Amino acid sequence: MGRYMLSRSLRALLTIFLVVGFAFTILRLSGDPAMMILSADAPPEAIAAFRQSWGLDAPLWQQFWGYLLNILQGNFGVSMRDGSPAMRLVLEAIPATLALALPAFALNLLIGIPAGILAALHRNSWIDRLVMSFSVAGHTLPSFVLGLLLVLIFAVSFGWLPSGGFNGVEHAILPVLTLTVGGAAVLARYTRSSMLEVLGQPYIRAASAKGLRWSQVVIRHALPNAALPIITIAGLMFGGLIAGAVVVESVFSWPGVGRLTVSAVGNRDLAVVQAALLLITVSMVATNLAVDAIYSLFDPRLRANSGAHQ
Amino acid sequence: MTSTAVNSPTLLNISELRIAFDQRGHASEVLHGVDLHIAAGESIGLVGESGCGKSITWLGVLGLLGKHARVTGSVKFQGRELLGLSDTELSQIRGRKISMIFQDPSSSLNPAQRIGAQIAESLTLHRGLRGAEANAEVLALLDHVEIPDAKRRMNAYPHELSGGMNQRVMIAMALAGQPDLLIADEPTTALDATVQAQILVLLDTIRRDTGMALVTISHDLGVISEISDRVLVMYAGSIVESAPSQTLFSEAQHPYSLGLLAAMPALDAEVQRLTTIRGSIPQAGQLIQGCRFEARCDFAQDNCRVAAPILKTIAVGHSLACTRKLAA
Amino acid sequence: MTPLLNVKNLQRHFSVEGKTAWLAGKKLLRAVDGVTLSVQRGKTLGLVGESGCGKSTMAKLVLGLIPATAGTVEFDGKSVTAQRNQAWRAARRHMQMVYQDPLGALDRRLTALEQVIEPLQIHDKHGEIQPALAAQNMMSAVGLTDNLFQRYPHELSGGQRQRVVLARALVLKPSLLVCDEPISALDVSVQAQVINLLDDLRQQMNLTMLFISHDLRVVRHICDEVAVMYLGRIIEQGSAKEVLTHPAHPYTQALISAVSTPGAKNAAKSSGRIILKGEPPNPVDVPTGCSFHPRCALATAHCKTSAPIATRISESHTVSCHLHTMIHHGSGS
Repeated sequence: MGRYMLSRSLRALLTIFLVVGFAFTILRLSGDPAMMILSADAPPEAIAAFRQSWGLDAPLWQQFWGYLLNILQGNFGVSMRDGSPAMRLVLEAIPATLALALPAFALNLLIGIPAGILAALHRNSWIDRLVMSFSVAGHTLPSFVLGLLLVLIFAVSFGWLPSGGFNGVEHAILPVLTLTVGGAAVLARYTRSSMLEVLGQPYIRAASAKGLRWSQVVIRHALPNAALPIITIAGLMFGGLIAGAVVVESVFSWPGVGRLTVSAVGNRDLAVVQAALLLITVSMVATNLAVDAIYSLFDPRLRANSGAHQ
Repeated sequence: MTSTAVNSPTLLNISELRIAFDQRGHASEVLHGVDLHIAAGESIGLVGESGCGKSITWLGVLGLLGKHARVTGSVKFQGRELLGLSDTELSQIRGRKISMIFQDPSSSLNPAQRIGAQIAESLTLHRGLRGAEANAEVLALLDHVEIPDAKRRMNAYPHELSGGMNQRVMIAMALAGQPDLLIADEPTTALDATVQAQILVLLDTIRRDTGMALVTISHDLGVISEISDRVLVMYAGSIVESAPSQTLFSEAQHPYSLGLLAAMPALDAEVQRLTTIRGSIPQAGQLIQGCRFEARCDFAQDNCRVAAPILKTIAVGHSLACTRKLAA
Repeated sequence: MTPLLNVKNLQRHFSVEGKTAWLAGKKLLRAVDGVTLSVQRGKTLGLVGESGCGKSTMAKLVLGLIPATAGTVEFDGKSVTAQRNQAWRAARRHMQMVYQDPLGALDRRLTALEQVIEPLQIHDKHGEIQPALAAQNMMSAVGLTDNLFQRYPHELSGGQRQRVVLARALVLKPSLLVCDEPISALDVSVQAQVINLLDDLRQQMNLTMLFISHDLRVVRHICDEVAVMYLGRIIEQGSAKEVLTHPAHPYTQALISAVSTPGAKNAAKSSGRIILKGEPPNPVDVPTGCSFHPRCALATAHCKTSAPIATRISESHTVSCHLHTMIHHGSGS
């Protein structure tokens, strides 16, 4: 188990390094921050001065090296727009993202998993078809379309809920709802197929033959075994929600990490983008590690020796 | 040789059992009217190839075929009709009065649960034992099925044990409820030869010790002959012949039984060419009017195609379903 | 005469991570642990044993599908390596394999005829043989009727699938056919058909066969010679008739006594039934001395410490067992 986690952790570090490096390179190659911030008709000397003060005239590898050294000292750079520390801006945006992510995640689990289980238990019945139709609709519909639709219906037509902003619980309802539909749809589908696979196994029939009632068979023998892939999916989804639901936050003008990243990219505000990406990568990777750890706790086959045995 | 007296009460009586599956609107019948009876403590064997219905019969009796199965006829266990009982009522019989063990022991056990806990589950369910009491009984059962080092093995997971060990665990689990009838579906097929021998001896010993009746299902005539007193040969959903073990192997009458016996090479005989049964088994659910074996039978006559043969007694304990032989 | 297949001191070890691999270091799984055997042209050698004995690994070694850790495999006088180069690929047409699971051995997306034509297209690019015709002839030879040619594997029965596998293996007229449990997945009545078919083809094509099986009855019927494997070593070998009717090694005796014969008496009552204690062991933990001693009712102290060597007990029968070494050498005869 120790060896398993060690190799996973090393891989995680490598992932973080690759993502940060990639983002760093792309940002500098894709457009001139000086032009974006100062505006296109600024005098060339101003642009050159800007570049120099931000170290943008140095070779790429030198910039990257400098960046890494700074990170190790806890210095994540400052925003090119207003000079405030980049990481602080990102960290300030986190509570807003969590305010959407946590309720959405909880609802995903509460709606998606039972729906998937019901669909699997009543395969090919009307329940199954209903759940699967919603599931397909849910994850086919792009989140911005759904978000805008909800705004149109509830904010514009009925006027029950505000269309954006960050001033209280009623502002959170529509964005959370938008996130939930997509997430629950995916979870329902995966839960259904995982349950179906487990229900087809010989030990389920053997458990019935033991004299357990069907509900007991499902709860004691089917669900624990079906849980494993679901945990993986749920973990990945959580990581994605933490990363900031970029589209939803933009549609609803929600001041979370996603929206911050988008605007920083548009402004070529390098330090902020990099800080945000670093945070997102770390949280995704950490979530994956946690999922791996939980997985091996649940599946005794992963815990034991990985070699051949009789 | 027979271990049950003629006066033993009938434990199970199956009459005209038919099983059909609903597939997209139309039903296809896979079991075509099976009659059999088992006396208390008796050991019978069901032999046949794929599609003959030897397993489906018992899954139907225990109500384990799912909701698309139509099971009709009569199954009387200790005088009580089983067909038509609700799932809850049947679950009180499964494991407690009638137990079943399956072909691949390693995949018939919950991979995420320790084997001790799985056996204890049966004990709690059927005998109300819990905690230390249950654990003591689990150890006793593991000893009974001859698993060495039981105390340590109790906490093992199925994937940590070999196939033979897992089959013993399944047997222990099946015995936990102290059933009157044990159905063993291909209990040794997935096991090595030397382990197979051990398991057969074990099953036989347990049966004699507990007075339980045993149904062994196998495609291997040899295995059946080891452990069953009476053999029923099945083909394409019906019983074609039924006789005491020794009688079947020396005086089989049905062309299919004879074909099966001849198809097996022997260790001690020098046979140049094996006698084969030409053709292949009909598709499950295929509608055939007369005898289902007719197409492959070297002795088929015209009236074999007209009506399906009926199982009739031709000697004490020996029944046969063959139009030609019965007419003769 | 040089045997078609000649195997000397063949070894194949796998290193395996144990539970405490971190601390104790890697363990060795001795799948094949010093096997010497040979098969003359036109003969059939049966390889029998239970799970973990190494017979399937032997099949792969003989065909050059996996490399050996030590020892040599010679086919037709030439060494067989596992390197997937031109020479290796060219050698495929002379040695072929038939598998246990016919459905898994066939490509789901090709019709039966296409499966049998494929080897011809691979090996005979110059079109000397007419592929379709040759394939059809071979398929008829294995008993497949015309109407089955265009069917896909899932539309065929188990016996039909195995015939397709056979046709595909034999269409290039190889000299060696390795069969790894070719009939265990088939129904009994179909097994007989395939056994007869193998027998016929063997005679018609002068095939040399390595027949791997756990079913001693089939091996007796179809093989000229047999080698019994246990934990990666051959513990007894010789003519099939002799070894299987007069087994010398206690393990072979137990295997034979485990064969259920119809008409045999009740299990517990039958005399001379040898029931081994314990289970087929793990090839990672090979016992010292004679690897069979933990389960042998006749084991002595000597058996625990020293490994027996092969002793010839008759012209066509050798056994690796101290009991026989003592009988043949110990008494000074």
